[in-house]
Amino acid sequence: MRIERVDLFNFRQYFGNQRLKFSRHDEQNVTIIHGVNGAGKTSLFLALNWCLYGEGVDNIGQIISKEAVSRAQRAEIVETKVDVTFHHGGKRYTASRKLVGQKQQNGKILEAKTTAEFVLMRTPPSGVMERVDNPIGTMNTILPANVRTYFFFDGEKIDNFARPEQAAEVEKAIYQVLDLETLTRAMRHLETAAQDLRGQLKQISTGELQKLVEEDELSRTRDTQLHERRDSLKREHSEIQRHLDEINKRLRDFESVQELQKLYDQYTQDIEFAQQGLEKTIRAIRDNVSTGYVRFASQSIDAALAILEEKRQRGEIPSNIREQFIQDLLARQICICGRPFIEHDDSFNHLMHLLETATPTSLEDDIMDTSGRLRGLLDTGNKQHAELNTRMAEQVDWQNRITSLTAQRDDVHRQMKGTNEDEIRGLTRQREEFADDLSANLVEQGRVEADLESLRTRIKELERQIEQAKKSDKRARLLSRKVELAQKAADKIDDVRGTFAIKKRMEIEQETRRIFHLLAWKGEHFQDVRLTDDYQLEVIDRYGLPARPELSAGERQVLSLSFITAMAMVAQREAPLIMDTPFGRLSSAHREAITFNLPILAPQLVLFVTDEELRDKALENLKPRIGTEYRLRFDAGTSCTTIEEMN
Amino acid sequence: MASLQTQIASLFDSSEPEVFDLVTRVLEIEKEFLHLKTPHGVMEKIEEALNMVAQASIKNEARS
Repeated sequence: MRIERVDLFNFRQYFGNQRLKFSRHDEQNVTIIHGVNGAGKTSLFLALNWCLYGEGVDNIGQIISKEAVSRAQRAEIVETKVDVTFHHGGKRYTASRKLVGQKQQNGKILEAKTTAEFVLMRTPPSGVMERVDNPIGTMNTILPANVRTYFFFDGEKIDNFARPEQAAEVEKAIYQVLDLETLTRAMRHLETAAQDLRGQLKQISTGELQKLVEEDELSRTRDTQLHERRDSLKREHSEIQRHLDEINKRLRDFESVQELQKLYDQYTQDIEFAQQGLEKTIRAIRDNVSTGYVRFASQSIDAALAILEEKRQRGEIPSNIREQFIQDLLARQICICGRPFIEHDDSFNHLMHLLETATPTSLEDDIMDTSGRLRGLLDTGNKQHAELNTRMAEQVDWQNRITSLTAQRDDVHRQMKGTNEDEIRGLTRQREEFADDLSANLVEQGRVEADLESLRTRIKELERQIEQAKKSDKRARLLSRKVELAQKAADKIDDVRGTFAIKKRMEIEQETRRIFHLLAWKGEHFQDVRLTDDYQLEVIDRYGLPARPELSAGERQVLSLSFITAMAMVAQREAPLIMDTPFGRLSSAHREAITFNLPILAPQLVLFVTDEELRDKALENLKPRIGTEYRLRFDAGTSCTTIEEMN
Repeated sequence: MASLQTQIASLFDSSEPEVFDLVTRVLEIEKEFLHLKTPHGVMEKIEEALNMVAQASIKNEARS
C-alpha cells in the first residue's frame, strides 16, 4: 500500500477543500509535513485513521470545521469528508468517509446519520472504477486495522516494545503483522467446530440401522413361511371339504337317512348363507368405524354452533344492518322513510357512520356458510351413528341364527349317527371327525391371517424406520468426515503455526539487530539485540550483559522503531511508515542516523514534524529523498489551517 | 522471497488435499472477520466450508 493523496473537506481546522499529495517515488519516497505545535499535524493523522478505519471519532461535532458550522445558516446541512487515495496490488483505491449534520438553533450540529458512510472505490490497471462490495473487509485485507498501528504511529509513544513488561505486546505485534493471528483464530475455530460435530455424531450413531435391517430380514423370512402355511391350510381345507362332500353324497344314497340328509344339507346351506351375511355385516361395521370419525366431533360441532348462535342473538354477527343495504341508500340518496338527503347532511353522515360499523357482506356470507357446513357435518355424524347401531343389531341376529342352525344340524347329525346301519354310523363318525378337522383348520387359518396382518404392519414400519436410519447413517458418515477433517486441519495449523512463529521470530530478531545497529549511534557499545523465546526484546552490551534497563527514552524509541521496521520487512508488507513527531525526544546523533537510514528501509515515509526536530544534518540527510513537502499554516484570525506545498 | 501469504500457504503443501483445501478456505474466512473482535457468523461460514470439503471428499472416495 502506498498513499497517493489525502483530500479533506471541512475537517477540523481544514476549512473547505484541501489536498495533500504523498510521494510514491521509489527513490524520493519521503513526504514531509512541517507544522508548529497546534497547526494541525495530529488532525491530519486522525483524518487518515478515521477515513481508512473509522477510528478516533465519536461524533460529527469532534471533527467538523467550526468555521464551516459558523458560516452555515440555521437548519442548513453541513458535512465533513476525507478521501484517501492509495495504490495496492496494482490497483488504485479511493476510500471515502463522511459525516453529515444539520445546524441547530443553538448553533450546534446534529448528526444526520449514526454511522459514518464508508465507501471504497477500486480501479484496476486498465479498467473502469468500481465500488467495492465489502469495503471494511477489503481494507482489512490490505492493511488490517490492528496492524496499521505499527505503521501509523506517534513517534514519541513508540518506546513500548522496548520496555521489559511489554513482552506480550511484542508477541501480539508479531502475531498480527505476520498474519499468525489468522492462523490462531482458524485453529481455535476449527477445534470448536470439531468438538460441536463430535457431540452431534454421538447423538445419532447407535448402530440402529444394522439392528433394523436384521429384524427386517427375519420378518420377511417369517412372512414367506406364514404365506406357505396359509396356502397349505387352504389346500388342506379343500381336501377336508372334498371328503365331507363325498361322505354327504354317499349318505344321500341311503334310503333310510335320505330325508335326514336332505335336512342336513339344507341346514348346511342356510349356515353358509348366514355366515356370508355375517361377514358382509362385519365389513359394513368396519367401514362405518373407519370413516365415521365425524360423530366423535359432534360435541365440538354443537359447541361451535352454540357460540355462533349466541353471537348472532347478541347482534354481533351478522350485524343488524347489512353493508349492501346502507350502500344502496347512499346511492339513491333517499332515506327508508322516503325523505331525500344530500351529501354531508346529518342523514348522510349518520349512514356513513353505520357503514363503518356494518359487517362486510363477505364476512356475513362466510359465517352463514360455516354454520351450514357445521350442521351438515352434524347430520352426517348422526346418520353414521344410526347406521352403526343397525349393523350391530344385524351382526347379533346373524350370530344367533348361525348358532341356532348349527344346533339344529347337529341334532340331525346325531339322529343319523343313532341309526342301526353300521355303514351309516361309520360315515357319520367320519363326517364328525372331518368337521372337527375343518373347524380346527379354519381356526388355524384365522391365526395365520392375524399373524400375517401384524407382520405386514411391522414390515411397513421397519421399512420406514430403515429409511430414516439410512438418512441418519448418511448424516453420520458426513459428520464423521467433517470431524476428522476439522481436527486434522486444526492440528496441522497448530503444528505449522508454532514452527512458523519460531522461524519468523528469528528473522525479526536478525533484522532488528541489523537496523538497530544502523540507527543507534552507540553501535559499538550495544553488541547484540535479541528477541527471546518469551518475546522479550533485549539489548546486550559489550560486556555480554542485558542493557535494556539502562536505555534512554530515545534509545528505547530507536529500538522500538528498529523492531517495527524489522517486522514490516519480514512480513513483506508494503505499507507506508507514517510518523507523527518522530524526532521530538531524539538527540541529533539519532536523528541523523534515522534520517539517513529510514528512507532506505521503508517503501514510503511520511513525517509530521516541527521545524525544531528536523534541521541541520538531519534535514540535509533527508533532502535527496524528499518527494513532496508541505507546510501547515495556521491563521490565528480565522483559526483555520491551510496546506501549502513547498518548492 | 515469496510473499507472506505464499509462505503461509506453502506450509500446508505436504497436507492431504482435503486438509489443504479446508485450511485455505478457513484462512480466507478468518481474514474476512479478522477486524472484528467478536466475529459473529464466522462459525457458520466455517461449517459451510467444512460441509463442502467433506462432501467432496466422500464423493471422491465413492468414485475411486
